[in-house]
Amino acid sequence: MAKRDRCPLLIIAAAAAVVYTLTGFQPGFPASMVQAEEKASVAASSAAREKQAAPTADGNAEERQAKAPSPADSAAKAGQETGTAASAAQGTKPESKPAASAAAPEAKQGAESAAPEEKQETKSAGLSVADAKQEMITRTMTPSGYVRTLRQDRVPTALKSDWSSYRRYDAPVDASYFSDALFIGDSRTVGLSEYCPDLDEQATFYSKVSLTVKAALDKAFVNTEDGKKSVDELLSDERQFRKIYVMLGINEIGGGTAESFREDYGTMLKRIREKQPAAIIIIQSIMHVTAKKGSGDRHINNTRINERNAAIAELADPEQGIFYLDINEALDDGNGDLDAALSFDGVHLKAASYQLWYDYLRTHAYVSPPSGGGDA
Amino acid sequence: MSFTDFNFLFRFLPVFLIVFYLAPAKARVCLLILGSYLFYAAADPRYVLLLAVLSFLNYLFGRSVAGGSRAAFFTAVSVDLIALLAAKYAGQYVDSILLPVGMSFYLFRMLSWLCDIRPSGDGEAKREIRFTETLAYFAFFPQLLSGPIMRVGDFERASFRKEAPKERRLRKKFRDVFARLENGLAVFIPGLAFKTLLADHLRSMWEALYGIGYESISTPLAWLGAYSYSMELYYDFWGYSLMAAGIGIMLGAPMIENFRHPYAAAGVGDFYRRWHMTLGFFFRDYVYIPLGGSRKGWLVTVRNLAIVWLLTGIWHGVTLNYLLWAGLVLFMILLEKALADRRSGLLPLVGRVHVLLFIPITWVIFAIPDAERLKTYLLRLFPIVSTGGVVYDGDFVKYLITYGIYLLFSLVFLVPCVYDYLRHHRRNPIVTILLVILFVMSLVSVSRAGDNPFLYLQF
Repeated sequence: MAKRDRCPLLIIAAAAAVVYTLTGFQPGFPASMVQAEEKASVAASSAAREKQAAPTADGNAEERQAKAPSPADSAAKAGQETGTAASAAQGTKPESKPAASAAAPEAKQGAESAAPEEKQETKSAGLSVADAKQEMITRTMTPSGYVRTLRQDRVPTALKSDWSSYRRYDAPVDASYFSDALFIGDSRTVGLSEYCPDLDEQATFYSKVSLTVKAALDKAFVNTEDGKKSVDELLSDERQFRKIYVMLGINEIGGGTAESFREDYGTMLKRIREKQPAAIIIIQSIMHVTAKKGSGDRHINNTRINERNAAIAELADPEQGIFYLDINEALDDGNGDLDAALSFDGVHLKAASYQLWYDYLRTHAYVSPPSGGGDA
Repeated sequence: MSFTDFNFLFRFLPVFLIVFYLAPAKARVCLLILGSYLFYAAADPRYVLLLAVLSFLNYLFGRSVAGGSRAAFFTAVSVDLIALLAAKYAGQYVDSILLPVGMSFYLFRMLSWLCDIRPSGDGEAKREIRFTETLAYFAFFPQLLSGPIMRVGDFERASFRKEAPKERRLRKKFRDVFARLENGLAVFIPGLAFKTLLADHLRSMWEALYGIGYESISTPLAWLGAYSYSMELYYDFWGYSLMAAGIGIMLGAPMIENFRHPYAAAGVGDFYRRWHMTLGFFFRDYVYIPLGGSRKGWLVTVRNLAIVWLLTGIWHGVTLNYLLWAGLVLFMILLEKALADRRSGLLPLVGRVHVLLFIPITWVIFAIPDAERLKTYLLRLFPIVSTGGVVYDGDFVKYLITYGIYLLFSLVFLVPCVYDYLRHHRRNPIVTILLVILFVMSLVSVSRAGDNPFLYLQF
């Protein structure tokens, strides 16, 4: 055959078509995952009793004709993978930030006045702590006491394993409360670090766009002076955090089931606990999406998010210093969807809205009384 | 069903091509109609009937138009324009589902057909209007959803229309078909790569800015966003046009060029002779020149240009930002014309500044229909007044690092000789290997981006 008659592109394209027909181009998605996915969608459909059921609209969101210079097929994918691109994850912060003297503000507020609020909030968070024990502790808890605890406990060797003394402190804490806090999360947490400078100054962020529970500890994505390190490596370093906030789950909401998600999440928490025995761990609920976003998406909708949140809320164990915080309380509209006024894209908060999340964390801090509950 | 959808790429298109070329030559036009309607049904099943009705109406009127009836011509044009305007307004102000996919394009093809089949005054033989061919032309699936707006003269050059000579030697026949498919792929693959590897990635940056809220982006990021959006728009549409042209070539249609390196243009006027060229030709041939073009004095010229750009603005959308966009483009074109008339030495400089600095700004206006948000974005581009948002100082560097590679390749392919070299040497083995690599990379990118329902790695 003459050279000009060869059709290499045609051969390759035909081969690709054959391969696609045979395999569906999912070498990275073995059958097990696909099956899990199918099971998950069955579970999702049977979970219609979920109180904040997002309307499941027509799954095949038609491509709408884009405005002329952007052709119709451009509208196809709502979001593009940005996963490969490294996001600006926060590097490790310099060690030993001053534990500011005014760690817990509103010093005027006495322990007595704080007590009733304590009870309410504990209930709403779904924590099961004996009321009697609680009363005993709240009496001794003062804002200044918190500071003492903080300083004392910053020495990793003086680890306390009795987490039962930790209580929710309802007055807004000062920014310095977060000076020994670590945030692990996906793009939403990245946004928190970027658009909440008050918090970013204090806390450490190991966050990355597209982070998942499965990858959170082992993927080397945190920029340090010695190159990229995984969260696991960094948690094993000498630095002990006192509070570790986690928000993950939206990126894997399309795969697995609520049960498998809880299992993975639990494994992750266990590993964090081993490396960081002195830290309380705060599971933050997966932030809702807006009603509009959820209605057009088979996977990313609030029915599914609620299902997953219910699963990880079960992992809360105040006795082990693991708490669950439903941050959606601060961000929802009346119907249990992310307030559309707070978000442009339906998934991420717009920059100005991150303050609400931060304020919620400030008013839902966990503190330990100075003497420690167990000893009292 | 978009061209980057694997169901199109690896199911519909190959099956259609096999059937198309195995069928007898006489049946091909009918197959094309069938395939096009199936394709449209996959994209928007609700409006298949509308496409059929409009095609049929235009065909009926067209027969009289070809016979010289002015009344039929004006009736048909009015029907088409009213349908288009009604759909545009309903789609914008009632519900977006009321604007059928591809309608702006197929109606413009019908309008252009009506104009082209009018008998010219000089006793030219009447054009023969065939029902099946007309239907196939209106619904020609490679160009159905987003153009380019192929003229009927080009359609008539397509090989499937001609009476195919009886080819005795089967081998030669297949060799011709394979060569055609190969040529089509050589156009299609760069288009696929531009769209999936450049435009789709750059789009996520534009979406990220939207998600942050324009009041909270830094001024450098606002500029980066303007350029990034400009590149996205260009590679998206150019890539799409190349894919459409490539599929057309596979079917035996001539190559339809829709973009010719617009960012190498010497001015805005030149830019729009290189950008979405088939739409430009449409307005030039059916509006500007019939109105007198530029031969009747400067006042008429200005009026004609204003009409053309008003229509262009409305065609793109009925919100105010499109008029603002069109107005700015018009202003720059007029400025360039004025400078050219005076043989001003400033013209080359002004023209380049227009293309490289002001065109991206016009695209920002084009991109943001909401007046309040548009104002906010412009204030971030030109921060004369604070918009009061919390701004992350590191945002420019962050996005430059994340999207720099895509922006870099976008800039490389702005230089005309890069693409032209690849096109010219497409038979070169190294270029072929490059195309294969691009093809594979594009497929990987598409499969990771969201056609795969099990992957949601974007948050």
